[in-house]
Amino acid sequence: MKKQLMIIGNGLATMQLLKELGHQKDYCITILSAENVPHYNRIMLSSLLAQETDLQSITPCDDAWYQERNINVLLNHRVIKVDSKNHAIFCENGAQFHYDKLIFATGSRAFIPPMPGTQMPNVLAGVMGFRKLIDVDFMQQVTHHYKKAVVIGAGLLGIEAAVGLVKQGMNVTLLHRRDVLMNRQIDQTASNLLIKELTARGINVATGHGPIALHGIPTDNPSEPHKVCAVELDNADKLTADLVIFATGIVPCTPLAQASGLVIKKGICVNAQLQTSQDDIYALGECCEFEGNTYGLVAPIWNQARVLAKQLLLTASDEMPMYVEEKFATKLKVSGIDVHSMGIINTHETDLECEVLEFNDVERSIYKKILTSNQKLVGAVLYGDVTDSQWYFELLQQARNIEPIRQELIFGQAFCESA
Amino acid sequence: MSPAMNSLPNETCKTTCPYCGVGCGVQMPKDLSKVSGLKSHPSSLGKLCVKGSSLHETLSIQGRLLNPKVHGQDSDWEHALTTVANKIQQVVKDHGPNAIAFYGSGQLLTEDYYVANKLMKGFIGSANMDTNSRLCMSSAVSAYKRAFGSDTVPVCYDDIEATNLLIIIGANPAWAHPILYQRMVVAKKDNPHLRVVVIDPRKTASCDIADLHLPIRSGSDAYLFNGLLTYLADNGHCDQDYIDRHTDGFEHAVQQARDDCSSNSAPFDNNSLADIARVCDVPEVDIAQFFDWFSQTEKTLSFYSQGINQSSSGTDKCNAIINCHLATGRIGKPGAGPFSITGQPNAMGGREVGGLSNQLACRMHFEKSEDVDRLTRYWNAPNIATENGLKAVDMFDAVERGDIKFIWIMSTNPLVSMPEADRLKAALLKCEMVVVSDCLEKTDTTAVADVLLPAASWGEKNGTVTNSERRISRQRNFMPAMGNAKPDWWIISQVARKLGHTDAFNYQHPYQIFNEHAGLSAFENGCENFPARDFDISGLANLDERTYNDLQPIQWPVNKKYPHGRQRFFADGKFFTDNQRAQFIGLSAQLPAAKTTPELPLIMNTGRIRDQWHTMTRTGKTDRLLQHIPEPFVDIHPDDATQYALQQDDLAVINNDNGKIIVRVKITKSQTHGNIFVPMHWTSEFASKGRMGVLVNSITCPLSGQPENKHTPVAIKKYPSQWFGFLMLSEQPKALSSICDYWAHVPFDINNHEEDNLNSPQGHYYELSGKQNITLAYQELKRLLPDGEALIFTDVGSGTHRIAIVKDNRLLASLFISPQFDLPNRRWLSQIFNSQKLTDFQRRALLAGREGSAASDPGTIICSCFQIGDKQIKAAIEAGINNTDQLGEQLKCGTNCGSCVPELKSLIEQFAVPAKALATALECVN
Repeated sequence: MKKQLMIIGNGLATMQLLKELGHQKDYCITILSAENVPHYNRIMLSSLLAQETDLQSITPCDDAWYQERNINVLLNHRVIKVDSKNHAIFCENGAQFHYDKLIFATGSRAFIPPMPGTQMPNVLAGVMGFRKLIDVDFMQQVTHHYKKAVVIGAGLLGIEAAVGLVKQGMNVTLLHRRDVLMNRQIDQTASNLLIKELTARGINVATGHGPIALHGIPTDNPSEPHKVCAVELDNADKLTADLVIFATGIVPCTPLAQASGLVIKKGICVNAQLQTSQDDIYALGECCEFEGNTYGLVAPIWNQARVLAKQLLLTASDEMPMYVEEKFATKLKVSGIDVHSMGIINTHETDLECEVLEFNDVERSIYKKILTSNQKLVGAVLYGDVTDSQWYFELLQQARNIEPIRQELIFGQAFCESA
Repeated sequence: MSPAMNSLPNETCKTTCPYCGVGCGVQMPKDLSKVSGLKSHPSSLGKLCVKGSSLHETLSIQGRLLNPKVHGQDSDWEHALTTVANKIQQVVKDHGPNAIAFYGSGQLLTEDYYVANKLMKGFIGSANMDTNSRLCMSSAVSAYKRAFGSDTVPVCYDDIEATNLLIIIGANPAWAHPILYQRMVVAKKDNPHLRVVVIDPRKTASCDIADLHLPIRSGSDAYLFNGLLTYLADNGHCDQDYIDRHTDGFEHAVQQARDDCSSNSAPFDNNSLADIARVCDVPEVDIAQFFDWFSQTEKTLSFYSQGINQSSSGTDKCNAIINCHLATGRIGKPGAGPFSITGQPNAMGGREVGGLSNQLACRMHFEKSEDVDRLTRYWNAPNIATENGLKAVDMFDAVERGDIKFIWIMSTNPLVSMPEADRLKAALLKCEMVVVSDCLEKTDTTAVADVLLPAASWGEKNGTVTNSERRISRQRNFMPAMGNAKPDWWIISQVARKLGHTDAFNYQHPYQIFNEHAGLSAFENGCENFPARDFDISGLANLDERTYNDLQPIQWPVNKKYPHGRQRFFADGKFFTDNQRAQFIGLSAQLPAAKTTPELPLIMNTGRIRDQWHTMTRTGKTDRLLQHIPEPFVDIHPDDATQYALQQDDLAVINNDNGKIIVRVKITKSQTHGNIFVPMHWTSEFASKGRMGVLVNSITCPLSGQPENKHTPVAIKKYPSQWFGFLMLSEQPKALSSICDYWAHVPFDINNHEEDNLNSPQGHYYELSGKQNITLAYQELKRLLPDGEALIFTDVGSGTHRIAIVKDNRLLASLFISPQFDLPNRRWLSQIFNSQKLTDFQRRALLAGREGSAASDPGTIICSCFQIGDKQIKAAIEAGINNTDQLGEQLKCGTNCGSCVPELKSLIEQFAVPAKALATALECVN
C-alpha cells in the first residue's frame, strides 16, 4: 500500500517538490492549501496586479497534471494542528488526515514592523503586506476608491507593488529607509538608475526616511477598525495614504510548526536532509531554517526541493542526499528592468582588496559593475543588460583567473571568447 | 578671367596616375565610381597598384583649398594675384631678380612647369626656379649629363623583360614603383636566365625576387661599382672596341678607381675583393658572385633610385654605375643600360621644361651661351637669366639669410620633405612673402604662407606628364575644379600678365602651351648646322585642341626620324657631347659625409612605404591606404632594439642636433645592425612629431645639390609613455598637441556611398600617447569629445578608460586609453561610424572595440534569469524540442522563476516543427 505524503502549503516550494518527485509510485500525495485557488506562480503576482497577465497564465498546471501524478489538492484546508506522535493532521474545517510523511511548505508572511497602527488589536484598515492572491484581489478592489498609496520598503516586492498600483491609477509613494533601493542587491549607481526609471513611471520615490507611526480615522461604521489616513516619518513628515503596503521583508510562517512541537528558531529548523526535529516531518522553502539561513529567493529552494525529493524516494542502496548552501546570483526582473547581482556588491562592504570595472550607458540605463580581487571575479551588479550574468556567475563560482580577459570582461562572453 | 576649360568628357576619361614615375594609364568612369587600369597604356598595360586603384577615393572636397587667401583671409583672385604681382615688382625693383624664387614640383604638369620656368628665367630674369625633383633625381641628371652630354635616360621599361641581369640599387620598386616591380616579377618567372641582384642596406620587399642581396654599408655604393670597374678591367671583361670607338676617359677612370682602392687614405689596402667586402660590409663571396654575373651577362640593366641619388656624392655614385655600363658597351641595347627611375609623375616633364635651377627649357643649358641666346629669341624674353640659379637647399638657405625676399612654392610641401625642416620653417616665417599654390588648405607649408592660391587637382587639371621612360601621356580633366581652384598654368600666366607680359603669357588652353614647348624643342635642333639636342618633339609641335586632347602616350623623341617615338637612345654609340663620345668619369668613392658618433650611434635611412605617396596629401585621404601602416615608425634590428631597451610597439624618440621625432618601434631583421629606417611621408597633418626631414642634415652633393636623405646619424631612446590610446571622431580636434606628445592621424571615410564619394564626411582617428598620468590624460582628452549619449568603461585598477559618444543611434566619437599598447583593432570601430543605426549588439560592442562573436548573440532575451534569448530558443525548438520542460533541461530557460514559461509556450507553438513535417524533412535529408 502506498504511503501517505501530506504537504502543507501550495506555493512554489511545493510545486517544485512535486516536479522533482515526478511520476513516483511510492506515495499517495495530498496537498493541504489554505487558499481557495490552485497553485499559482507567486512571483507573478505583481504582474497580475499590474494586469499584465491573468490568473490562468500564472497557473502552470491543470487538473490533469495532478491526476497523472496521483496528487490530491485540497483547497480551503487550513491546518490548525499536527499530532506528530499519532501522525495526524487536523484542519480548521474539521477534516483529519493520517500521514506517513509530512512536509511543511508553509512559506512566509510579510514582516510588518511594530508601530502604532500595525499592532493587534488596533491594526488600521488599509494596511497590508503583499504575499498572496487575495492581497492582489484586495488591492484591485480598493483602487477604485482609494487614491493614495504608500509602499514601505523598496526591495523587489515593494517596487513591484508600487509599479502595479501606479498602473491601477493610484498616486504611489515608495518609501525606503536607506538611500539605496534594493540595497542588498544593488549599489548606489544602479539604485539611481532605478529611481530615475520609477520616477519616470510616476512613482514618488522617497529615500532616507522610515515610518514611525500610522495614523487612522474612524469609518462610518463604528464597529469597523479605523482606516489608515497617514504615514508619519522619522523626520516628522506625514504622507497622506489610503493604502499602506508593507514590503519590509518576510518572516517564515512557523506558528503551526511551533504548535506542533517542532524546533523553531527564525524558521523551522531542518538538517541537510530537510528533516525537522520530528521524525517523518520535513520542511522546505521560506518557512525553513538551515544553518541559520532563511530563504526568500527561488534558487536555493529549488535545491532544497531536489534534495527532499531524493530523500523521500530514498532506497537502502542510495547515498544520502545532502542540501548544501551554495553561492547564488540574485536575478531579478523588476517591473521589466533586469537587475542581477552576485557576490560582493560594494567595495566598502568587504575586507577584500577589490578593483572595480565599470560600464555605463546612461542613456540606455545600462550599468554594469564587476568587482575583482586577486585576479578573480568576486562580485557583480548588472542593471539593464544582464546578458552575461550566468557567465559571470560561472567565473565567480569557479574562481577563474580573469586577468587574461580583464580588458574584455565587462563586455561579456561574446567578446572574451572571440578574443 | 576664367580659363578656357575643356568640356568634360561624356564617357570614361583616359588619364594618367598622378603618383609615381611609372606613369600608369588610368581610366575614370563618368560617375567617378572606381578607377581602373587603362589597358592601352604601353607603360602599365592596364595594371594599377594599390595607391592608383584608390584614386577615386581621394577626390573628396575634404581639406581642399577652395579660395585664394591673403594673410589668412579669404580673398578673390584679382586681389590675390595683384598682391603677388605687386610684391614681385617691388622686390625686383628694390633687390633685383635674384631676390625672387620659385619652388616647383614633379606634381606640376609639363604645361604648368613650362609657364613657371618661362616667367622666372625669361621674364623676371633669375634662374632661382628649382623643384622638389632636386631631392629626387638631380644626381641622376648631373651624372647623365656628365657621361652623355645630355640628361638622357637611354632605356625603357621593355628592357625589364629583355634583360638577363637586373641590378636594383638603392631602390625598392616593390613599394615605390609597384607596377614596374610586377613586370620584374613576371619577367623573373618567364625568363629562367634572368638573375636579380638587390643592392640595399635594407632587406626590402623587392628582395623577394632577388637571387642575391647585397646589404651593403649605407652609402658605400661607389666602392662597389669602382671595384666592379677595376674587376672588369683587370679580368678582360671590358668591351675595348666600344670603349675605343665611343668613349673618352676610360683609362683615367679605371686608374682613379684603382688608385682609390689602393690609396692609403681610403679604407682599401689593395684592390682585392676582400677589401671591397670589408668596406661594403658584405661577404666576399657575394661580391664575387655579383661581379661574376655582371661580367658574364651581356644584357645587364642597372635600375637605381634614391638610395643612389640622395647622397653627398650622388652624382659620382650614378657615374660609377654608368662607367661600368660604358666599359661593357651596355647602353642603348635591349635589356641593357643604366636606368635612373624617377619618383614623381612628372619629374621627367620638369627636366624637359628646365624646372631645375641649373637647366634651361627643353633640356638646354646655361653653360652654352647659344642655348641662352636661342631661348631669348624664341621667347622674345626681355630679361633672360644667364647663369644657374640656386638649388633647393641653397635656395632655402638664401631665404634664411634674407637674400630671397619672395618665394612662390607650387604643389609641394618642403617643410616635410626638405632637410632640417624646422630651420627651414623658421626661415620661411621670416621671408617677406611666401606664396603657396596648392590644392590642399592645410599642409605644413600652407601654414606659413602669406598668400594661398587654390590650385586645381588631379582630375581637374589638364595637360601632359612624362614618365621615367620618357613617355609623354595626357593627364585629362574629368571633373570641374572645386571651389575657385584654377590650373597652375593659369595662375602663373595671370601673374605674368599683371607684371606686364601680356603677349608672352596669353594662353587660353594648355594645348597652346604644349605647342610652344614642342616648337621650342624643334627650334634650331639638329638642322641647318645646329647641333642636335636629345629632346625633340617636333612631331607634336602643331597639335590643335582636338589632336592634343586625343594625344596617345608616346616616348620622346618624336620627330621626322622617329614619328612614333623612340624606345632607346645611344644604340649607335653617338652621344650629345661636343665630340659625340660618352665620358667615363674618374671618381673617388666616398662614404657619406656625416659619421656616427658615440652620441649619434645609428644611421637613419628614409624612404617610401607601399601605400603612401610623398607627404600623404592625397593618399592620406583614403583610409584603405592608411590601413597598411597607419603610423610613422622606425624599423630597427633586434640587437639594436635590445641595446636601446626598445620593445615592439614602444614609441621611440629619434634625435640629433637638428631636432627630434617620435615614432612607433617595429623590430625587424630586415634592418642591418646599426641602421634604422623611417618612412618619409608623415607630416604635421598626420603626426605630432613624425617628420623625418627635421633630422636630415643639409649636406648635399656638390654637383647636383641633392641632399643626403639616406644617411643621417641619430640617437634613439624609448619615449616614456605613461599611456597609449586612440581617439576617433568626426571633427578634427583642436589642441591635441597640448595634451599628447604623440599623435598620429588617420582620416577615414564615413558613409562612403558610391554615388557621393566627393562629399562624404570624414572621420578622424588618432593614435595617442603621452607622459602624463593616465587619468589626467583621460580627463583632458574627454573634453575633446562632442556632446551626445556617453557610454563609459572604466577600470581604474588597470588604468583603462573607454568612452563612446552616440547620438541618434550613430557613433560620433570614441576614446580608448590604456597603460599598455594593447587596445583593440581600430578598423571595426572606424567602420561602425558608417552604421546608420546601431543594433543593440553593436552598441554593446562599441567599447569592446570589436564585433564580438555574433554567434553568441542570444537575440531578444526571453528568460531573464538565465539570459536565454529568442534566437537560442528558436534554434532549440527547430532542432526538435516541443515542450517547456525539455527547453528547461537544455537551455535552463524557465527553470528559475518560471515567469517566461508562457512566452516559451508561445515560441514553441510558433516554431515547433510538426512531428509529421519533421519526419518528412528527415526523409528528405536521408
